[in-house]
Amino acid sequence: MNNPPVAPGGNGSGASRFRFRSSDDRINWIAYLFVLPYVVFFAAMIAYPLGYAIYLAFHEWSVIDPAKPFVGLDNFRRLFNDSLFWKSLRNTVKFLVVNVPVTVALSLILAVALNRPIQGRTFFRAAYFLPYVTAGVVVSLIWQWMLGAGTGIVPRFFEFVGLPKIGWLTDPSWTMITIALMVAWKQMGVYIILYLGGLQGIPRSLYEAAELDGANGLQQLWTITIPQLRPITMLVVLLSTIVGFQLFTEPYIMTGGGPLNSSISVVLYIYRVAFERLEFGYASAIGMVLAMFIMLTALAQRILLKEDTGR
Amino acid sequence: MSTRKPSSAHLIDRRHLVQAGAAIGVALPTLSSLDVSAQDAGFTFWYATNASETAFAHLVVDEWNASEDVKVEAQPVPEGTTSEEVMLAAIAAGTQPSVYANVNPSVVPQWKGAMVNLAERYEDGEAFLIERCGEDIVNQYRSSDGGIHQVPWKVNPVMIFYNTRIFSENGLDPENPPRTYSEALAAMATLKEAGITSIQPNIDQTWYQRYFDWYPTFLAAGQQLLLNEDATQAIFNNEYAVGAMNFWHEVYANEYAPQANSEQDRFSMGEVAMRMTGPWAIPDMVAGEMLDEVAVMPIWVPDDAPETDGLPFTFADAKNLGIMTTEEDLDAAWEFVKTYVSLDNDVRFFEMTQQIPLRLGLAESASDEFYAQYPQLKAFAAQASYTLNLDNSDKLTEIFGAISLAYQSAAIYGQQSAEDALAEAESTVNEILSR
Repeated sequence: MNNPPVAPGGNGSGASRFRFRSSDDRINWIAYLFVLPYVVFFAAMIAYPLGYAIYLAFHEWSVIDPAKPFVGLDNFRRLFNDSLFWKSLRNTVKFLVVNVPVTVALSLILAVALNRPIQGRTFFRAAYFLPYVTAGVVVSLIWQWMLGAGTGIVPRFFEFVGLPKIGWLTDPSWTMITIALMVAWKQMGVYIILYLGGLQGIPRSLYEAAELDGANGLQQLWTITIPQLRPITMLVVLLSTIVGFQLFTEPYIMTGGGPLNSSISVVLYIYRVAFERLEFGYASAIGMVLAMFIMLTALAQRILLKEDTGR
Repeated sequence: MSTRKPSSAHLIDRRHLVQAGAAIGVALPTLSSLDVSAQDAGFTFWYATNASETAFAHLVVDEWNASEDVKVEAQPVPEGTTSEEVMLAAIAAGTQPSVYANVNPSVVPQWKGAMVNLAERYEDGEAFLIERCGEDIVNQYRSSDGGIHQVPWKVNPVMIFYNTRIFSENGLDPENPPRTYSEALAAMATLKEAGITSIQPNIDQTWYQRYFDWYPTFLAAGQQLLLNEDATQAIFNNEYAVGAMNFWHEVYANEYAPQANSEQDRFSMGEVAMRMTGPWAIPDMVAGEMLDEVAVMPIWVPDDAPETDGLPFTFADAKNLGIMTTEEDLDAAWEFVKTYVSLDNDVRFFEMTQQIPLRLGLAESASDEFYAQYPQLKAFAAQASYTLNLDNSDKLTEIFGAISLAYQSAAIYGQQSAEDALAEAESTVNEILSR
């Protein structure tokens, strides 16, 4: 059991007790000082806007007019009858259905390849990470040019090799798929790093035993690598799902949500409601519902992860 | 028992605190001096970013600053997807300029709480505007409450530029360009046979893109706006809207226009035969060294539209000036605005930017040399009297969003008939207006 601290040379007087506490508090104070910048950042950029958004969800506000009449649950009632909100949610789910499996598969395959002693391994690792650290707006604009009908390099390549003509950004059935594939390419750099970390934690002895049993490379991948990387895969699925729910930059830049609202995501819809229609209260209500969706999805995946890993 | 020494962390911390205090001590006077310099600047003024308007703004502001005590600090609108979004963000953040020279009338019903009512605030406000623009024009830009929150400044009537060389080379008479839908489609069919793209409007769903395809044809056909007079009900679902929608559907279905955008201005490169736009596009054609082979025709009308002495109506695409309520020296701001749109400056603006100031008798004020250099502008100046703008509704972005969706569905992709798409749009617009 720890004894209560006693001040050096202390005689129990009030003055020495004060000095002792002052010294101890100073250490805490320094720690708090280090934490302070993030606390200020968190309070100003996350806690306050979040609290304000919750407040706004029950009010009407146009930014221009300072009046914010209380509307109760009206914004939420309206949302459930708003066909464009549901369309944006369906679009977002379509995005996730394409994006998440492609992200997982590509990241895993490339990580396994980059984990082998191949020439130029460092270069490739950096190259795959580069899109992730490049600004989303820049990447979106470049892909928009590359995919542009008539002038883009991708349609021209398809034409050159005799593949069918695809309206990557103009055909309503393709736009969300195109964006999902592009985002998978952009994001996979960070997931490759996660997988590489996981790969280096798999005991070499498992592969040696498998080799002795006559397992080939593909069998080793299927029976050792993929099961051993399951916790990483669950993390990648969770992170890419959360990123997917927040999809904004790519459809905003590349398609404006069209054609025929085929690529409008929930966040892009929130942006339009707020900044084009000036309905900040309603936009906040949609934001609240989206946050609930993300939390529920993350919770479900967390439960699955726990069940899967037995933890 | 050990004795606690003064920790180095503590010493470092104290030293850092002293440094931080010194930094704040230096920073505060600096910040306050910035504030003073901002006050000395008088007021801020934002203008559109294109090169010719920038040159004009600098000219006027430099002259003003050389002669007036209250100085103007001018800058182009900061970069953004649209200047409206930038301005809205500035209003929300309280960083808007005092005077703004790129006000889109479609957003004024939304913004008017942040804009000065010129008729109410200034004794000579309404009289000045009526003298400059005429009562009809001023009434077009009057707010629903009877106030005037914008200075009607300039219009860019949307018309159709066409390449006379391409027309001649393909057996089309450049002196008699197509007037009706059928004539336009026949000309496009001829151009298609020659492998030439007739026209390439922007197909984006973005609401304001319809200003440059369906909306001018709708105005030309019916000479009416989208909503009833008090902007409470949609009245656009009629034969003119259907006819214009079907016309554009024919354009896309016959591949006279591609279902794609181009990253380049293919008309100014001489690759596309026609372009529906305003006179602001002329500098692009000058840069493309092809202005000599460009002429201008009015917006196409339905086949049964009678020929008249006047011109078919078109979209004005006006941009106006506004004074924001946050400015403290509103009198100086008003004097600056009056200077900015004085007769001399209107003529200079017309000649420098090739855009049409909304001033009575302006066309006659420009020099012959100017018209010899830009003969196309005579057509735009004549068209300025045959323009309509937008309904006075704070829901215009949503309304045009619904119409844009109908246009994509019926005209570009042919997924719905024009009648069904417009009926859906009408229902959506009425629902929007009922909120």
